[in-house]
Amino acid sequence: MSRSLVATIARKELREIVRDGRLRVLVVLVVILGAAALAFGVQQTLRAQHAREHAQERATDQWQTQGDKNPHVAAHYGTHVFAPTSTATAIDPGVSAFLGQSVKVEAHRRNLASHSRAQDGAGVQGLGAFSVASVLLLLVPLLIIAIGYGAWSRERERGTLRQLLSTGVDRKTLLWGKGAALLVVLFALLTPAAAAIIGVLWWLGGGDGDTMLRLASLGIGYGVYFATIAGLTLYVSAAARSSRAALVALVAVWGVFCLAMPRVASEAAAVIAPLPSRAEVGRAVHSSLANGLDGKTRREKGIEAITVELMKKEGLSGTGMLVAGSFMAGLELQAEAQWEDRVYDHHIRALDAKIAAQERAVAWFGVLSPYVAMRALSAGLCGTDYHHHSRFTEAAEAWRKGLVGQLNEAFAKKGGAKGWDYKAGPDLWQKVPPFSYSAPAIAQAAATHLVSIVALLLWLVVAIGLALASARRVRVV
Amino acid sequence: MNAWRTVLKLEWRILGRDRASAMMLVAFAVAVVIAAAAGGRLAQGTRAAQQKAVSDHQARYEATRKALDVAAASNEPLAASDPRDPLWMGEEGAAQLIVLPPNPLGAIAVGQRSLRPQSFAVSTAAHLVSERETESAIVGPTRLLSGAFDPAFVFVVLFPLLVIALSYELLSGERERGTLAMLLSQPVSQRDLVGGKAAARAVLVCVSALVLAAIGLIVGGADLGQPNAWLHAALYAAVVVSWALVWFAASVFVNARGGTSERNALVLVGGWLVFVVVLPGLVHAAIDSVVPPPSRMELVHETREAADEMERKLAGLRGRHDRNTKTRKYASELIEVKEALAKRAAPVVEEMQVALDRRAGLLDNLRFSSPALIVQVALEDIAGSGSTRHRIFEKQVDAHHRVFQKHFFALARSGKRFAPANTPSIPGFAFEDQPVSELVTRVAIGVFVLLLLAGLLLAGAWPALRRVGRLTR
Repeated sequence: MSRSLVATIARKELREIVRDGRLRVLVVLVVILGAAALAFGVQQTLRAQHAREHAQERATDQWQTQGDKNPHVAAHYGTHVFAPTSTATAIDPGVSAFLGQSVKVEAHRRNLASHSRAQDGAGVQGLGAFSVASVLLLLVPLLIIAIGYGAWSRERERGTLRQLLSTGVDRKTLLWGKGAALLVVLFALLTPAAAAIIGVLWWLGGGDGDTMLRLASLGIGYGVYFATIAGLTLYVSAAARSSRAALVALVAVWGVFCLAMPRVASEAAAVIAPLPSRAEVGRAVHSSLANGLDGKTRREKGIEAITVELMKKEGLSGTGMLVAGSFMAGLELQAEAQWEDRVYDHHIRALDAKIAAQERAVAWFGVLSPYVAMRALSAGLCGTDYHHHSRFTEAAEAWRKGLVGQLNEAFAKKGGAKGWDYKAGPDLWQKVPPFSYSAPAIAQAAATHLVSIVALLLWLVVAIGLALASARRVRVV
Repeated sequence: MNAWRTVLKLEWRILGRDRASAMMLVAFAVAVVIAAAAGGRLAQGTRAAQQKAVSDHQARYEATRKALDVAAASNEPLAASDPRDPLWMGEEGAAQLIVLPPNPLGAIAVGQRSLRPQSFAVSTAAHLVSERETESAIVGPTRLLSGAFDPAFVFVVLFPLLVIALSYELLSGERERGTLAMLLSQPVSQRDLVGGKAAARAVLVCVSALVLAAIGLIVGGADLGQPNAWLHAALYAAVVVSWALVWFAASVFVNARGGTSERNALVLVGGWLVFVVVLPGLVHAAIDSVVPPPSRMELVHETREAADEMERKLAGLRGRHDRNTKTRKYASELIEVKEALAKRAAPVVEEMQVALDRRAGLLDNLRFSSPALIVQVALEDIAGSGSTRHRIFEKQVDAHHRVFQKHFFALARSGKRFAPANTPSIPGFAFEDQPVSELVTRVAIGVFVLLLLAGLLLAGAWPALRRVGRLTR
């Protein structure tokens, strides 16, 4: 196989593609849709960033200007923390619209994240989302199909395949040439798109190394995805009876991959890895709060045991010393919080693990559809998957524990004889460290989506293998 | 007419012998049955969960009532969770669980059911707690993103592909096979030929679709004994048939242009892509851009800031573990705080409701931009899982919540203890569903637009069909 020959064939194919008026229209359409999707994504991301900053500022302001009150009363008053919006949301909002954006932080309970954007959707969400990712995941494969479905079959129908082969060129070289032409068209189309995306993200404030690394990985991921679709297109084009049959078969395959399989996968995942109801989780938490995680330790006993432990830590047990009312109240509150934390941590982590298991079950369907695999990977790299969300809620919980602990400790140590009448002021509120959260490193995101990565690579190998095998056997007339 | 009948009969015979068509129909049938089972599983899950929640709730309420009967006889001071305490009764003891009852054909579209609350806990709490789906399973985020594999999906998205596959080569196929010349040598016009062929296929597809939809209803566990269930089924049938006719008309229109089968397939699939996949997404984006969803985070803050002072008082009342909560003073303080909170939050909530209404209204109008949206919205309306019905439900619950609050606040303020004689006067809630005539009108408008579209496409094709173009490829 000579390289110059491949290039010659690719040039010939390119010329044909460029000359085809219908394809020009399609390319223009996809470009317009992509640009509109990017603009829409940017608008939504800016809006979300603004809303988050504003909300966080107001929450902090409310917290700091809450006036004088008992620290535990302040813990009841609580505050809110908000999920960070990554700039890459502009490209792929993933499942972020369906996850809560804020967590109410307060004493005695760990709240689930609430206020998802989808909750206020106008309706018929199921029918279609519009984002750069949906253009890349759904429409670009169709463009590849539209460009490539006649690659072999049309040559055969026109009788040019026989002529081509009579020049002595072998079929494998022809296949590489055709494949190269397809990829060159895509590259020409997607390079400016990638540049526009990088520029926009930079402008949105995502010019850091991690974002760029994520984008580069995203580029490679989509490259593999498109190459897979191109390989499958060439395979069907060679194997089908006619161009018409190739087109129908490819659209059917696309429909199965991109429309039916995601829904089938999530329905199946719901059966394989079922989730409990909120009420069930609520009942479990309620019962554990009353009778401990073992179901045998009564709340009072449990809290008493923790209080004794805490007193030991403070060096107060068995000293027979008189302890100030507020110190004891503060200690008891800390013990109560620890008791509640154990229960909430156990049950909410279990729920989290179940949701993650359902997400993983969906990901396994990537083996049946490259779309499912790439969709999961894309959201993972853009930080808009469930994994990133659960990292946020864990961070919010850690912060909540710190906050409640700090307030109870202040009550215990500073309340003195005033007991519940003790009031703290802005000094204490300002001492609370601000909530900070950093997204997991890209390696972790990749590890979470290992199944999808492997599925995509498998698909690439299968697609290339099929394209090669069918090229060898393609009928000439 | 005679020629039509002959063509129809011949076409039936061909279809009967065509294995590809049979296979496509079988594949579609499998999809419908699976979707019906999946949609039915979800609908029945919701129904069972609601029934369990309601019966559990009723059992709790009965227990409270019995406890009230016992407690009312004694003159002991109020204890914790005492049914004689009107404040506690309003907060917990007599709190109500209100559920959105499923429609008889609930299984055909999951719609908003997995996103919007299906039940509310109504108590004297300041804000109406949208206690989501108390007993039905949490829906994972990817599942929400993908949408359900329900009959609505199969009919809206996959069904047009079946119609296209069975009709894209109505005329071009005959030309390419070289049989057009032979057919037109018979005493039959090109119009009769295309009309007869399209009609034969349309009858086959529509009858199969209706039979499958009916099987789907049985598999999905539709409750046809409910009032109006058959009317809903008739509306469902009308939507499916008119949707099929749109695509048959589109096929006739494209075939009348005289292109090749390959070109016809490309154009039809392109049209399907635009109207079924791309436009709904664009409509969503347009609604989000023009009328962004009200930020609930902002709502929380607005309410909180507006009522901060009150909220602080409330936290002050609640956060102190040493406070006796059984005094009349505590009760009136708490009520005052709650009332003030509701009053000061009202404008913010109102603003949010207006925004939500505007979004729903915009979708209602923009659905006419794509026939697929018309069909989806109509199926969700019939299934009782659309935005309109949810908005009606939410508004009614909201109004009831205010009545309920007022009732218990008045009782608590009177300083009297809650007695068994007070139970019948607790305000009850009966959901007033969207009137049937409204539902019929909404769906009928959709069906009318679909039929109009089909008519326009046929009218566009008719003159072109008179001219016989090339007879062979």
